[in-house]
Amino acid sequence: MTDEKRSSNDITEAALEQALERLAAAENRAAPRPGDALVARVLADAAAETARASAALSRPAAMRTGRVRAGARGRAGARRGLGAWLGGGAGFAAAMAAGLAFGFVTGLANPESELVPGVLAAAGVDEEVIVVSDASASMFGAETPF
Amino acid sequence: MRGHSQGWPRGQGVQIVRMAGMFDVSEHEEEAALLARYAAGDQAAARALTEQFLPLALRQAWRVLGSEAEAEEVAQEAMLKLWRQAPSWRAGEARVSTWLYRVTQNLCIDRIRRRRATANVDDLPEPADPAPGVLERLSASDDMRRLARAIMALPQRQRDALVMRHFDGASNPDIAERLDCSVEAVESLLARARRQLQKELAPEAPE
Repeated sequence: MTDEKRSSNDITEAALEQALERLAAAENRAAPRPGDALVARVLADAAAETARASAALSRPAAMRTGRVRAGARGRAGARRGLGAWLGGGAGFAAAMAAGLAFGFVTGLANPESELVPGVLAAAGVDEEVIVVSDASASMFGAETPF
Repeated sequence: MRGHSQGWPRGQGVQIVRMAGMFDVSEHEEEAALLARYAAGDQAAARALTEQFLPLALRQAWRVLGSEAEAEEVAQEAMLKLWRQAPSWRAGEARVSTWLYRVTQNLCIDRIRRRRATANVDDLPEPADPAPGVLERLSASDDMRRLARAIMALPQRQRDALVMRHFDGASNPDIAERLDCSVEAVESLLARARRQLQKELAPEAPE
């Protein structure tokens, strides 16, 4: 470190500081400042990055929403399908039961089926509530009329 | 408690509120808060960050590259990296100015390497000289030119520390953060640099 030791010829620290200040001031005067065009480009980049980040964030959210909606649709559809199937089955069962009961009743009441409606009506029997068993009655929420 | 007049650039609509007597908002926190606001989509925060940091990046790049056009490209690229970093910025880990300094420096080094692409880069020393010619061109007098040449001849870390201290006005802790060393190491670098400059600028002894 001998070469770093001060000699009597070396300039003083104060003189060095002064020289550095002058040089720094010269650099400061010459240094470029961001022009409007550069600032505009930088701000455009900032806006574009914001938009890109927002799009990246919103894509998974949209996908999640889509999945939720699709799931909801699927479940609703499944419920409707099951309901339709059950409803259809129930309707079919009801029709069968009604038919059987109707045939049974009309068969008993009147072998001529074309007369049955009139007979039933005369007897005050509502064919829609005619069921063949308690189980069927409970399935349809109706009470057995006999 | 620092006051409002810290040269903090305020973009339109940007208000950093210091509540006197309650708590002090450090510059780190202000920078991080601005970045967080930008990441949340606040373009006024982007303007404030641009006002504060673009001039630093531009000047640093110009000093290293010596070309205003190239410096503008590097500064824009450095700011773009800042925008991309904003959402994952972790407050308290580094100052934005320090982070940007390193990014800008790396971008400049990449450019210098590309300039030297025809040569075998592996055989070349690191592009140590951040400003060959810039300071010298500015030096009107012989003394100033001698000083500029002496600065350029300093070992890289001594020169970096000296330039940051005297040309950027950076504090020793800031320099330490940028150079990834202790404050004591910065003081040592600066002391050695100054001694070398004093020696180099000594009047030549009459024969």
